[in-house]
Amino acid sequence: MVLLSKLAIIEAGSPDTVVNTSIVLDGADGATREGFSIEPVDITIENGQLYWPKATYRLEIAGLKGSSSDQTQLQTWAANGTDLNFSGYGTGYIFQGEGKINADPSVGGEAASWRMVSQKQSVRGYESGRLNARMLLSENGFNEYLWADDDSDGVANGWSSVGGGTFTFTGGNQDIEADNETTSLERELYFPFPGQDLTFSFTVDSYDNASNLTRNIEMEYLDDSGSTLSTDSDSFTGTGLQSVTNTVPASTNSIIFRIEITEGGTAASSIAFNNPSVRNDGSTVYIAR
Amino acid sequence: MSKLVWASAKIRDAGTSSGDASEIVISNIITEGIEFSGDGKQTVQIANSQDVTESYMRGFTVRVKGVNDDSGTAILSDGNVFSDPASDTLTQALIELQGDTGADSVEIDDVYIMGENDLSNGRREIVLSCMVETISDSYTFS
Repeated sequence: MVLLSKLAIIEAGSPDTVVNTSIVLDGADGATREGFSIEPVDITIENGQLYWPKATYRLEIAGLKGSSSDQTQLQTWAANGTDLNFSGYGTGYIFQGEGKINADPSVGGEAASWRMVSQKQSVRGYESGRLNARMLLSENGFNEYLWADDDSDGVANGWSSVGGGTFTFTGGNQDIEADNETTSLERELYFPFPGQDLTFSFTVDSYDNASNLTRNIEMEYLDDSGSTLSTDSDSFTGTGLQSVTNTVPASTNSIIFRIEITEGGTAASSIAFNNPSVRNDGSTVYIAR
Repeated sequence: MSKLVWASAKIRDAGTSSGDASEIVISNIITEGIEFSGDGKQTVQIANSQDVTESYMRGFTVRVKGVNDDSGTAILSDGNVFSDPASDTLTQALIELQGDTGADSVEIDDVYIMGENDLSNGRREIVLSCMVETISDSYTFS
């Protein structure tokens, strides 16, 4: 299994209800078996051949005991089978997930801590462009969705088009055309970890700058009520790799990653790009899954 | 005596030769993670209590540090690796462990190759695994 450094548990549909914890790596009972693991389920088929139709995805952690309200919240979630979102990170990995938890509010050992397990069996791989397990550990935090357009709506899986414009997805490129307007492609991830550096990158394949096209790469930070705290916005030009590295500010609960273009009204202009990535190790190398 | 020292793994369509257009090459294989198994599966005892092996179990398990092949494409997106049960068709393929210079290579053909992320060593690896029972020895050395 891979260890995580931090984990946040966010109630689905109620993002202001968050338990954020430091993970105990030693000093709590069972700490040596915690982390995130994937175990394929073996089935034997014709001629003794292996078949892995599904896998067991298991998140097990011990967290440093926080406030009593956090302990109550964990027990409430566990008792009610509440749908939850998970966000975390480890050394060079980002974790994103959905599920329910089984929580033990107090475990023994040297540190006051609690234990949580979220486990599910799921068909492996991706279906309709989305990871079946809804539990992702990857260098690229966007990989719950494949970079493709499975529903043929012109917008990449998992991303949203905002503000008009014309969106098409062709040959692995997201094309956005703007005509006297501002338009953007956006993706929101829970990442309530102030002080962490994230590197957001993508590759511009081509552009048509017919009318003084303005292009921005942005990270907008939202608090737990969904209000904007601040936005890091940088302009870019040309083709090839574009990237920014920003530090997550205080009180952040989620981040909107945005690629935005503005056309001033002379003639329609467009941009084509691919391979968006968000990593916590400073790298801009694209990892597709 | 020939030696088995691995430099890379290759996966391609079943029945094709090295260099086929379908071939992917994976260099970052973890030497300790290679399991190369060969067991007599079905035996029968005949005259004078002699054992005759009628079939064999053959298979590889290969671990890869990293998630991409040498061309930078995700290993789990290769059509010969069964990684997406929801969308992929189960197809047989060929996997070859490429020997280092002066060492043997070995391949097994017409086998289902399973692929998945593996986190058991504390990092993200790709594990590729296959197993098949055959009447004759299905390993081909070269």
